[in-house]
Amino acid sequence: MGGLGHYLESQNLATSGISLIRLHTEKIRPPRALWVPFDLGRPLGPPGDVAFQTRVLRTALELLEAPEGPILADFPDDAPSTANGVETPLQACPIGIIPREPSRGSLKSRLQKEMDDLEVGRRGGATASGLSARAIIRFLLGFLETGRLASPKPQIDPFWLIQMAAEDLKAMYHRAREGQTEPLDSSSFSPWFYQETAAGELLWVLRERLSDHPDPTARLVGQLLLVPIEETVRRRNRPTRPHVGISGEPVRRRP
Amino acid sequence: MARLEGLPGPIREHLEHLACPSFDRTPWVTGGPLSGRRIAIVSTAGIHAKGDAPFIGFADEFRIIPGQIRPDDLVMSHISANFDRTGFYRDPNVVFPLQRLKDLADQGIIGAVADRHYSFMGATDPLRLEAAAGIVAAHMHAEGVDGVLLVPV
Repeated sequence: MGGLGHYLESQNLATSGISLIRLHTEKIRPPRALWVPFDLGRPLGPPGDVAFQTRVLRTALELLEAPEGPILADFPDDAPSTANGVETPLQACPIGIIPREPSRGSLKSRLQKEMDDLEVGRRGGATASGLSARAIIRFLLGFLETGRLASPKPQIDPFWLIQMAAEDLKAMYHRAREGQTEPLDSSSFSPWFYQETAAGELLWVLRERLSDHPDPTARLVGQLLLVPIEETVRRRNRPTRPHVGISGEPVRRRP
Repeated sequence: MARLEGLPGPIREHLEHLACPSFDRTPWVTGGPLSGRRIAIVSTAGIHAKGDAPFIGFADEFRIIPGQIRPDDLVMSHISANFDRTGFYRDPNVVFPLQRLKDLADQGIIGAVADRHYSFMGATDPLRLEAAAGIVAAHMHAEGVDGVLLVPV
């Protein structure tokens, strides 16, 4: 982000940026930056908090009136949700039920049941890949079952499409979960998805499959981009259920 | 939170050792009061309008986001799995504060909101974004933008 500040300011455009990693901003020294002590992914703070977001935005923009620089200012407050440790789930029309116990059987059958129970993909919403939930599952399971990449988006490198489809699937599960009678707070979504759902299990299996793949993009996607580091640490320290492959067989865990 | 000491060990170590570009000097452009400025947002969250070409891998391109875009029409194709997306799912202003910027324009705190905003893939080496930034700057000058808000993810 700070690099873009240099480039745009060099083109005679005044810039002011939000900084999430103060250390990086100290090294890059862009013209104006406001460091905020918020979660990665939340540069303006908590969702739905108009007053707080406005304070952050206005503080960052007011740096444009500073007489000289570079400036690296610190926002004085933590985000409310971070400070309290909780975030109230949004209200939504309740649908479906939350499966308490994963059903037995193949990953395919467990995915099918889970997506039906949660009504994944039925609440609308755009995806980056443009694929539906069912098309994503067909693509990802098809690769695991046959080893072939039948890409529904031939203009996109198939391994990058796996990464993109995985994020779209997570977004659809989040949307589905928001519609449940017991929606999750933000810090609980990722552990639930990766440690409790068949869809999360699908990404673990893909991670295993791609991490040793001969294609360097496949290895990058498998090793780094399908499962958050935090979830690999969580699974290593606190396994919640057996790690199984697409036919229900145990698979080794990558450290 | 984004205090390094509060992050899980492997993420903290990655961020502490991440290579950052260095610049000999910091450019500095002066301007008038905020209440007279036309502001555009530049995001590195890999967001774009639905139906627009997604960012693929470590892309060095940019996407234009129309100022009239509906929040539900914004999608994210950033490649990293290591930041929280739930805030963006619930309220795109967490990452792309377009409505907040419009609020400030309505209150007269800024002069105007630009008609077009811009997005990059934040996982790309910043040094590879210089050419695209030059094109974005030309777009902004053509529109009369004189203030830019940079938002990471």
